[in-house]
Formats: sequence, C-alpha cells, structure tokens
Amino acid sequence: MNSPAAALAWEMWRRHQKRLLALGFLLAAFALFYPAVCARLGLNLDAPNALDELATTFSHRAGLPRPSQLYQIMSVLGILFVLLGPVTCMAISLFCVIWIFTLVQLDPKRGFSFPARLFTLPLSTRFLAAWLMGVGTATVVAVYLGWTRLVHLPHINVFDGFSNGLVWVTLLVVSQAVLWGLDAFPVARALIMTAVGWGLAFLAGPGLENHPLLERNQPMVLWVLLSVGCGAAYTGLGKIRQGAWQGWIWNWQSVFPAGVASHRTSGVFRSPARAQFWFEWRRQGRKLLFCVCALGGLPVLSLVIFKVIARLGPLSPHTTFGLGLYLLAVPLFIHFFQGVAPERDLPPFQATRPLSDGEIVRARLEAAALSTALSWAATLLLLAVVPFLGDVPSAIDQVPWLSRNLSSIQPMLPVILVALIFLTWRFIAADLWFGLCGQKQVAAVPGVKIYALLALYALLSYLMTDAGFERTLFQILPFALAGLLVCKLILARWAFRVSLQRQLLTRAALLQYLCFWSIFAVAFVVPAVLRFHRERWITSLVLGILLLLPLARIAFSPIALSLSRHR
Amino acid sequence: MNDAILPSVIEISGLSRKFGDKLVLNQVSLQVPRGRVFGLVGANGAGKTTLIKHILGLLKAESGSVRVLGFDPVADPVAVLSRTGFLSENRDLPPWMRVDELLRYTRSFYPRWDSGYAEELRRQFGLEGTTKIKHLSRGENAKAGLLLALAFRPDLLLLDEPSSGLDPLVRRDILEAIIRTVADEGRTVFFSTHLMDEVERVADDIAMMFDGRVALEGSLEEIKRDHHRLVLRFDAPPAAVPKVPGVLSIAGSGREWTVICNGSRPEAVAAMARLGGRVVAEETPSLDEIFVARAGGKIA
Repeated sequence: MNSPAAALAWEMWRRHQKRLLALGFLLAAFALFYPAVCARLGLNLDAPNALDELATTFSHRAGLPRPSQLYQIMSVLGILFVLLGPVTCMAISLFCVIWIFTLVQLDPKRGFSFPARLFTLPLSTRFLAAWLMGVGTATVVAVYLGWTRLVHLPHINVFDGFSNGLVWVTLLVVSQAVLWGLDAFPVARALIMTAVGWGLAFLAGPGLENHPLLERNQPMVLWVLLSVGCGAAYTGLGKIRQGAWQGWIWNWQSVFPAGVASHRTSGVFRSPARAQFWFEWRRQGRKLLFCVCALGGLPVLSLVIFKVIARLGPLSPHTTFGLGLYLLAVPLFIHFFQGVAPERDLPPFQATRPLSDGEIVRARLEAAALSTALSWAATLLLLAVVPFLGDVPSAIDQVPWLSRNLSSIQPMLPVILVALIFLTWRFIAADLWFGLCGQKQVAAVPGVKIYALLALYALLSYLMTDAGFERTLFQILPFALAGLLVCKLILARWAFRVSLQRQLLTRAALLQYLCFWSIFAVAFVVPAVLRFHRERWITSLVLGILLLLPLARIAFSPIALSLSRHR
Repeated sequence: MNDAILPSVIEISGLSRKFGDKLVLNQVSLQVPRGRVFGLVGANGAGKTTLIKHILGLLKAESGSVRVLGFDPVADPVAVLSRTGFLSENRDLPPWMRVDELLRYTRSFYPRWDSGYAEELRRQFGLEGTTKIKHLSRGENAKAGLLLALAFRPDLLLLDEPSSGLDPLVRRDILEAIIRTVADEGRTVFFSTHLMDEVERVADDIAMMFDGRVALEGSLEEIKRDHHRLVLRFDAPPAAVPKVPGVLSIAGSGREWTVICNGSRPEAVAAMARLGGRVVAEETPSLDEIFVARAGGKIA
C-alpha cells in the first residue's frame, strides 16, 4: 500500500469485504448452477421471452393428473422466482456497487453525507472525484460484464434495460453528482434521486418503443447525462469540501412567513402521551409517509406532466396494470422494510422521558397507525389518477382471473382495503418488540424471518410434488394452527400479566387494545366466513386470520422496552 | 413520599456492575444529602457515567441497591424521572427538532415546567427558537440540554460532564451560578466532571472514583482539611526516593522533596523526621493535587 489510490482501494475493500464477497459468491453460484437448475425444471433459457416459458411449461403439465390450485400457484411462483432470480441479483449487485462508490456514510447530525475525514487527507478534490468515478465505473463495468457474460441470463422483455451497461455507469455518476452536490439538502436529494431513477428506468425500459425519437437518440442522451454527471459530481465534491453549503439552512421559515412557523409550535400538548405520539410521528411516521408519497407520487406526476405537456398518448394496458400494482405495493414495501429494520439503542434522551414503557410503545403503535392510514390515503389519491393515464378496464383484462371475478371482488373492496391497511400497520407493530429489546441478535430476527419464509416455501414446494402431501396438509393444518393460536393466547396472557404487575401497562390501555383486537378479528373473520363458508379450508383461514392479528407480540413490547431501558 | 423525612436524595449501597469480565462498579456506596452540590470526579473509565446511569434507572443494579428520592429508579422510573433533570454527556437531543419544538415537547412531561424561566434561560444561552438541533454547535447543544434539565425546577439535577463543550465564560459565569442557585433553593445537584477547579468552586461534597470504586468521599472542607502538602528538606540528598508511610505521593530531587499526605499531620511529620527530613513549608493542597496524588497510587 504505497500510494493514496491503493490506500483508498484497501479502505473500501476492508469496509465492504463481506458484502463484496457475498456478491462474488452469488455471481459464481449463478454462473455454475443456474443453467443446471433451469434444465431440471424444464425451462428453456434461450426462449425469446422467458416469461412465455411459464405458459409453455404449464401447458406441458396440463395432462398430468389433477394438479391442485395450491400446487399450481406454488409452482408458478417458484418458476417466477427462478426466472427473476439472476436479473434481480444482478440488479442488487450493481446497486450495491453504486452505493459503495458514492461513499456516503450515515452521520448522526448530517444524515447520509460524504465522510469529512477524507478532506483532511492530502488529496486534491480532482483526485478524489476522479478516483471514485474512475474506479467506480471500472467496478460497475466488471460486475455488469460478470453477470452478462458468465451467467446465462433468461431474456425477459420488461427487464431489457438491465442489459444496458451504459445505463448503470450513468446511474453511478449521476448518483455521485446528486448525493455529493446536494449534501445539505436531504429532502431535495431524495426527490431528485427518485426522479433520476425513474428517468433512467424509462430511458432503458421497453416503454421507449413508443417514442422513436428518444429511442434513436438514447445512447446520446445517456452520454450527455454521463458527462453532465461527471462535471456536477466534481463540482459538488469541491463545494462540500469548502463548506459552501453550510450556511444554507433550509427550513420552513425561509419558505413560509415567520408567523406560520411560530404558530405551529406555540400550542401545548394535552398530555405527555400526546407529546410522545407527536415525537414518534415526527421521528419516524412522517418519514414513512414522505417515502410513500415520493416513490408513488413522482412517477405519477411525471406521467401526468408528460401527458399534459408532451401530449403523451394513453399508457398501454400492460403499463397501466403495472403502475396500479406498483402504487399498491409501495406502502406495503416501505412499512415492511421499516418493520424488519433493527432499531438502534434507545438514546438517553428518550429513555429518560418520565413515561411508562407501555405509554412509549403505545405512542409508537399510534404513530405507525397514522403513517399507515395517511400512506394509504395518498395511495388511493394516486390510484384515482390512473384512469386519466390509461384505460383501466383494458388493464384489468390483462389478468383474466381478475376480470372474471371482478364482480364478486367489488363488494369485498372495503374489507380488502381495511385488510391492506391493517397488514401494513402490522409490519411495524408485530415486529416492534424485536427491536425494542435492544439486543442486536434479537433485533435481526425480523430480517432473518424473510429467509425462513423462503426456506419454508422451498420445502413446501418440494413436498407438494408428492400427490398425497396436500391432502395430509389440509388434514393437519387446522390442528397445527389451533395449537399455535393456543400458544399465542397463553403467551399473550402471561406477557400482559407481567406488564400489569410491573406497572409497564395500565389496565385501561390493555382493555383498549383487547377491544381493538376483537373488533378487527370480527371485521375480518365475519366477511371471510360469509364469502368462503363452503370451502374446506375455511377453518384454517379463520385460524390464520386470528394468528395474523398481533396480540402476544404487542404484549411483549413493553417488557422488551423495559429490558432495554433498564439493562 | 415526603421529601422532608428523607435522609438522602440518593442512597447507593454496595452497588456492583460488570460488563463482560470488566468490573465497572465495585461495591460503590454513596449518600447524597438534600440541598447539597455533590461532585463526582474520576479519571476516564472510572465508572462515573455508569454510576449516573444506575441513578437514572438506565442500568439495573446487579448487586446492591439504588434509591433516588425514596424510589427504586428501575421499578418506578416515572416517579424518579419526573423529578430529575438530566444533562447527558452524549448530547443526544433529537437532531431533527427545532429548539422551540424541543421545549414544547419536553414541557409536556413536567407539570412544574416554568415557561418564564425556560424563556429566560433560552435568551441567556443565546438559543434561537427556530434553529434545528442539528445546526447547533456542541456548546449550544449542551446549553439546550441544560435548559431542559433546569426549566422544570427539578428536585434533583443530574449533570454528566456538564462543562464538556461549554466555553469558559458560560462554564464559570452561568453553569456555576445556576448550580449554586439550585442548591440555595434547597434542591440537590449531582454532577460528574474531571475539571477539579470547577468542583472546588461549586461542590459542597465530593466523591473520587478510581477503577469502579469510591476512593474518597466527604465534604470538600473535610477533605481539604485532612490533606497536607509538605515541603521536606534533607541535610544530604537521599540515595533513593524516601519511603514515607501514609504518604499519597512524593516528588522532588536532591535535598528538597514535596509530599502529599492525609490523616494525622504529626504522625506524618514524625515519620519523615525519622528518615532525616524536616518540614520547611506547609500548604493545603488543591483538589487537583489530591486527585493526582491518589490517582498515582490508586489508593482506596
């Protein structure tokens, strides 16, 4: 290590060693085993569109004896998983490398920012910028070539853009420019990054076919973006090195008159619990709502602007359906990832609030509920714009099952919506206690759960190949679920009793939550029974609903917080 | 609980705590009387912050007991925290809040919050209400934390390294004045620091911690009365450093040596005379000298 360039490379390698080794392992695994797995499943990787292979595979299986509905659904999901696996892993690898070479780190005061310590090294800004852009580009190209040359990627039309190396390099340089240049403006930075991501996805995606002029000039547009990105990244790095943005304190007072700001903060909270709710809402809830609005709103807004200004024609039914699905998925995914992200230690400022553990937990749950409700309200508003952009009935026709059952689904829509809102809230609520206990290993459990579910899925898929398994499963399932429900009730009773004994929870708060739980249980179980009472799996469905409604884990939250607060 | 009948605001008895294999607190016992300013001093890693965390109930006693204002801070945190103002060493105020939001949020937890006093302190500290915490300097952050700890006029003011980040002007003229005012109002201040001159100026009682143990505890007056700084002169330079029993530290060269000792002065003088030395000057040592002398030998 006898040069600054080598020292920087070593630092990055040491910092991301495990991550980079995992990515290398992933690439090697796909290069070596993927074709064999596909051959075993009977998938043709050379098909013009691999998703068509799904239909072909199933048409071959049509003659086989009685494939059940559950088996078919699991098989379709399994093959989709196998087909999308390498493209997804390639995207994850490239996103990871891009993030590594932006070099931003989480600073408690400044948020994600370029590490200031690098500016104290005797290195010129030009060298730093050139090194990060140059080595970053080389790494992105290497990873890209690794995946496209060594792995036999299935050809999937909608992911055509992934096979354009120039798009990835442009994304790297533009990300560096935005993250470095807008160091002092985190909100503007998040919005612009989302817009850049969508813009590049559009430039690389199949939708470009409808815009011949743009399609013809796509490489030139990307080169221009790349050049502008290089200049902006270098300038941005120079600006933050000189502290050029430090005086630019962006607050609402600079936007709104002083009276508005003072009015917002002049009121007094009704109670400590209200103050804590406000704290939790401002700390986390509002951020989640902002993410949902930004991720859902930006593409819709861009499409509306394109439609009004550039007179863009109606979206294809396929794209309209995709947009609707995407908008529905955003609040779920945002809250899911918040739920599985382990919490950090409770800082003394929060731990020393004169509030009981139960009141702190309650404030968190309420803030999560508000963020969920507002996120879904925003999503519904965005969905209301979709008919303006494309033909919704034609979009629904893209999924024959949906169009066939639309009339029977429509009366259930309010229940489905409430179920979606509840499910979104549950992602945060049910896993809260894992993070609250303050133990790193326990806090990681919700993340590990994803892998456990994948493993369970793989196991079930394997077992489903046995014709008798499904019958046995349906015989055992109600008893297994009933057993789990009994365990849940016993644990909940124990946890609530301990919380009451230790004064972590008041009796009134407990009764309130039990009422809330019962109302939701009735609200979901009754429609399910009315709609599916003839199905043989109705008992399992009802037990499953009762298991999904969090009770024991909510009861554990004050105990977990107490453990972390008084170690 | 009637405070008037409480013998001490903080009562710690036989408190021990281990982190892994490291014994961070070893049989610590302390009594902090009501209406006094109590200074806790110690080197880095002596266990001061761990002790304060036990007082706040952020750590549970592995052995021994802690009672604050008559309550167990782990079993009844609300009762303790609602009457305790705390300034953290970490300056961990939420960075996304504005100063006025921070005041509005914090006042909701304390029925005794004095808005007039809070506003007076805010102006005295030069804090702008619309500034975000993340845009405050380290010193301003400390001032904001101090404001929150003081504004509800707590029965117990707990300050962990309060001077850290404060400029000398604020430290000397404001912090020390506030500490004295709080004590004069009959409330109690418990603060940790490694600045001996600060302790000497404001504390009524002190405790010195070394390696998780309280090595010395008492009123400042008593401690200074019990320690002596003696200058010894020998007729001929001793061949080696003189070994005087009961002496905390000895330094010098040639014929003249300086000794810090505690306990009975005549006994120390007699022991030195036996070695051939005579006392030519005597002074009361500063707290800094006592601390250094005790830290050198880590005498319990």
